[in-house]
Amino acid sequence: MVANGHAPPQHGYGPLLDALRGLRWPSRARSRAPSAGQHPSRRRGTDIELTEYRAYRQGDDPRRLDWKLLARTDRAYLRITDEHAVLPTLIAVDASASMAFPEPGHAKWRQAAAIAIGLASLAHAAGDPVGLVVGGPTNAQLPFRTRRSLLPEVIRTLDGISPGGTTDLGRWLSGFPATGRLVVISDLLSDDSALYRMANQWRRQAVDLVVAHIVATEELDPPEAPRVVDPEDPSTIRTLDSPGRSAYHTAFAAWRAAVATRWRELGAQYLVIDTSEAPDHAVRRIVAA
Amino acid sequence: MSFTAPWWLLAGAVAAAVISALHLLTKRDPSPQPLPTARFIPETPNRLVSRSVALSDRAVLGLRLLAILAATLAFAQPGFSRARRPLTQIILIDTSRAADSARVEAAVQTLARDHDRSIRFSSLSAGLIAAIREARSLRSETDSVSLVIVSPLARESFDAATVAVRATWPAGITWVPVEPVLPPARPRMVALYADDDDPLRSTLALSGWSTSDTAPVRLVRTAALGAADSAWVADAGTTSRLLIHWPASPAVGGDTVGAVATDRTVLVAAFLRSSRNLEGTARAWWVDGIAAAADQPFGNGCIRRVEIPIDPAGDLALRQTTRDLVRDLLAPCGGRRDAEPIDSAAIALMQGNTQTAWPAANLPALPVQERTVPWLLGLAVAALIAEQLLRRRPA
Repeated sequence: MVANGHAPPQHGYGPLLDALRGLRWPSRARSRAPSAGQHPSRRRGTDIELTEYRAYRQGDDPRRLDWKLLARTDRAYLRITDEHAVLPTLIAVDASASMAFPEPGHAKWRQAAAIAIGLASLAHAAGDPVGLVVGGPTNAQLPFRTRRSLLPEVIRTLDGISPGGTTDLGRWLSGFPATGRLVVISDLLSDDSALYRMANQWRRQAVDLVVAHIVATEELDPPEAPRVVDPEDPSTIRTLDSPGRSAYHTAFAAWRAAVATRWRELGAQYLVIDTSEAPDHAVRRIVAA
Repeated sequence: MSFTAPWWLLAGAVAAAVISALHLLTKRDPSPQPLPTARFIPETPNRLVSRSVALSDRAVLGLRLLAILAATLAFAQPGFSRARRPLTQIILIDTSRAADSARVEAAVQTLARDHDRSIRFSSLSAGLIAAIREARSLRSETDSVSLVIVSPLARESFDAATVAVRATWPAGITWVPVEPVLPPARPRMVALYADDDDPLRSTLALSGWSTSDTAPVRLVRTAALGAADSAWVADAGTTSRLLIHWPASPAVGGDTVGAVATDRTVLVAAFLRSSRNLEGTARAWWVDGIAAAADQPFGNGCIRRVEIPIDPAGDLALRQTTRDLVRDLLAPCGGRRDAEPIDSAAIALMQGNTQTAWPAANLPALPVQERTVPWLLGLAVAALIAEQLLRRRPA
């Protein structure tokens, strides 16, 4: 991961943020955060909007008794209402060498960075704390924050990174508390066993898990080439001739299907995002899923 | 521009052609293109190579050709020819004590022309060696070289190597004779300061030397010299005086040696040699090369210290070789003088045949190279280093 190696879009991220303005990103899971917010909370509270009544049991807070009902019916019932809380959102972006593809332009990395910025803007607009972790040879991370300068910091951090080397996102995630929502933006080509294990732990704690699988158009249908090399493993050198391409298409499709199955079985919201897809469209797909 | 070894140019041209052909014919593996999903391509033997018919690595090729060009030029030894003269004289000027410098210079003035070379010598052998070397260095400047000796050709100018050195010059040598400076006649008289029973008295008497206090040679046999002795040498005026300090009982404590020699005499006997080292110009040597007598200049003369013990017992002092040794040690400062001209046979040998001018091209070249050679070799090395750096440069 090299600083200042990735050029931001020519017109900045303004068009993307404009396209996402007003969009809401509802949570699939109830938040456990104590702070009030826009997402349904696992807590029952004293909200105005009534959800249900429940008979009083010893130990319940007597302040939640419906005194009017007790007076009318001489029965002790608790007034149960829904709480709404913030949803801490952690965005993990893969910055390994495989994301620096194709040369030149690094379309995979640009797509990942744009999606991360779009999702961060949506979470930030909803008042949710947003954290960022970028995994490459070195780690760049922003802790959970809600302050106004969050989005410029996210943009500055992502623009200052050029992908390279290998990454272990699972190791970097271990430094964050398992809460709220986790978004993984990666091509999943690095060794993801640690990431999968960490995501499994988070999932068991009812964390909303989103996996955005970035795939380059050139990876889906690469042209023939006498020699191709894996940028993360220089010892992997292959010849991409006509029979090789056919076998490649089959193997790559099978791998994508296996990856999708594995993450979905974990309960993750899994989407494949092509580099040819507009970032705002990809963000809308993630939000609407 | 001419070349001493032009066949190197042909070899360099062949090498350059081969290297250029290799750059045309080299098959190279194509540079790999990154593909993160390369692992999904089945692993097959990589047989794809690109066959290039265009010049590859032009910068590397250029540096290699530059190195070959510079190296072959250096090996071919280029020479930049100057205007050649038909004949160059190398004048050997005798500066020995047998030659009158004024007469020699006058003779040289009448001989010398522009571009002639002059070499001054006191030993004829050394002068001839220098002249022949100078002649070889003139190969590129002149067509013919002739040697001219301006000298009285006294016997003392000759040594054992002179004839052999002369034989290395294939042509004749022109001799311009000048009058020799003959040494003044020295009477066979010596001022002897020794005991009455000193063995050297007998030796000197048998050799025909008489003793006189006014003699220019003083032989002191005492253990040490006195102030009067030093003053006598220093007060010589225009006459060269010789003070010989030859202790009758030299300081012993050294070892035993079996012979002592001068340049003409070898005396074989058992000598108890002192361990004292003599400084100055050696006049006699022990058989192992250590000086047994040496001169040190003093004033207009010199002091000669002799550390050769003469046993008063026995007949050592009476032997003919002992007398010859004493005669040699009584020779004046600077060594024995023999300013007599060499005989006609030796002169004929020196002059050689009648062809005095010798074609310079027939002389063997000196191993000294032109100044351009090291520069060309340096350029070749620099090009090779640059080629290495260029090849190791990351793509």
